Amino acid sequence: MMIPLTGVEIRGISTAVPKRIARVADYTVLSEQEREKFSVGTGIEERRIVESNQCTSDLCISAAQDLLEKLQWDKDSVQALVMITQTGDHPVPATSIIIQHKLGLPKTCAAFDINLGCSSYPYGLAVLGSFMRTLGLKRALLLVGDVSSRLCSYNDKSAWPLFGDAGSATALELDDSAGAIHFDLNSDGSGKDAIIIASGGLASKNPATTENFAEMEVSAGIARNSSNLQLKGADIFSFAISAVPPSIRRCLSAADWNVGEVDYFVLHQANKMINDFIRKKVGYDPATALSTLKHYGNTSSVSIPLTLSASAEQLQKGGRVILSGFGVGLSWATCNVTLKPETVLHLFETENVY
Amino acid sequence: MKIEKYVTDIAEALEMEAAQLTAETEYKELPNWDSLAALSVIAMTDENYNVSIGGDDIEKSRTVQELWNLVAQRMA
Repeated sequence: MMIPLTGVEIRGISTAVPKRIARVADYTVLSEQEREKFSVGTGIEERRIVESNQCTSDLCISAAQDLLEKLQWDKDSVQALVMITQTGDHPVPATSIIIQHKLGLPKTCAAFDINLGCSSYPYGLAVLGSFMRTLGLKRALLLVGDVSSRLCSYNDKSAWPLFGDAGSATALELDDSAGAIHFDLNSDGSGKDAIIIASGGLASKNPATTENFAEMEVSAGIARNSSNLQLKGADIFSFAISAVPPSIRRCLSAADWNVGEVDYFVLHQANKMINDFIRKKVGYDPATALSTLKHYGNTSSVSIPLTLSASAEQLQKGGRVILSGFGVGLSWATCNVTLKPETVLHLFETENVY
Repeated sequence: MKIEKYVTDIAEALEMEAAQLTAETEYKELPNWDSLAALSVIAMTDENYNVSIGGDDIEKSRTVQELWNLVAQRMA
């Protein structure tokens, strides 16, 4: 276990979702019986998905503007912006840099993207927090967002009904009184095929060709092209239930927290079966497990801040939270955070396009 | 550890009567088999046997016996 991050405070978290709702009950690729079974097993009943003109940057800019306004931060005081996404606005340039301009942040603001999915949030806090500490950057924004609905084929029942879209902004500030954050960060590229877009865009391994963009039926109810996201649910499940509990335990032990001392456990929201299983293995109370699967589905990188924002009322007084993300890569990460009161702002809808 | 116990555990994971399943059952041909059933079998195997099985293991095993052989091997 590495040394903890100290002196960096989370000042605020805000999350924006698109207005449009996609209901599992309306998904015609599954039969009525399959739809019911799907919702019971995954816990997902509906998701928010973008209209064709709305991008990851739009959701993150909405969240960031909301946050800057509430915190009354002068834009010129923001010295760094890190964006974590796998659905940037363009393959090139980095979405963070586009956002620096659109948000009206100064040109002296450092900005770069990180390519991670479900493990984004703990990784983002680790990278940006230590960057700020080392270089003495007083204020920074961590933006995390994905529009995974754009990646999935509607005709792929193994992917389409799982994913929702959202964008979040987290404000970080140097503050000597901040609690220590312990990180447990992991990767295993041997599982790269578990969640992959095999082709398209700038893929060097398998460049986009007309053939690659033709939709093919893989099996019953699974038709997609090779530039769509594909996932192997059983492999991800098997990975998550074996890798995540030890990661949570390592983080708890580094932080010297007992399971019972944690106010809330916020796991990546992939599927109810995974999260229930991890909860049982680690042994925490169901009342301390926050979930947003029912209304927002799997929102990839942003599932942790989205779940925090959706639970703003419960978190109004702050508290001790364990945050654990796991998935594409494979990549998984856990951290402990002591949230100050009124840090977690609300979740809101936006149709804004910038 | 005997296969009989694994057969019973799989039946329970799939919410079936134990009598409906044998070591020779081709589990992927069961009417209630689907991707969520696969997750239940993976979860049960992890919980009761502390053995991790993946999608490929489910894919390449035809009968309960074949799956058990993999599990038993990993328990050793």
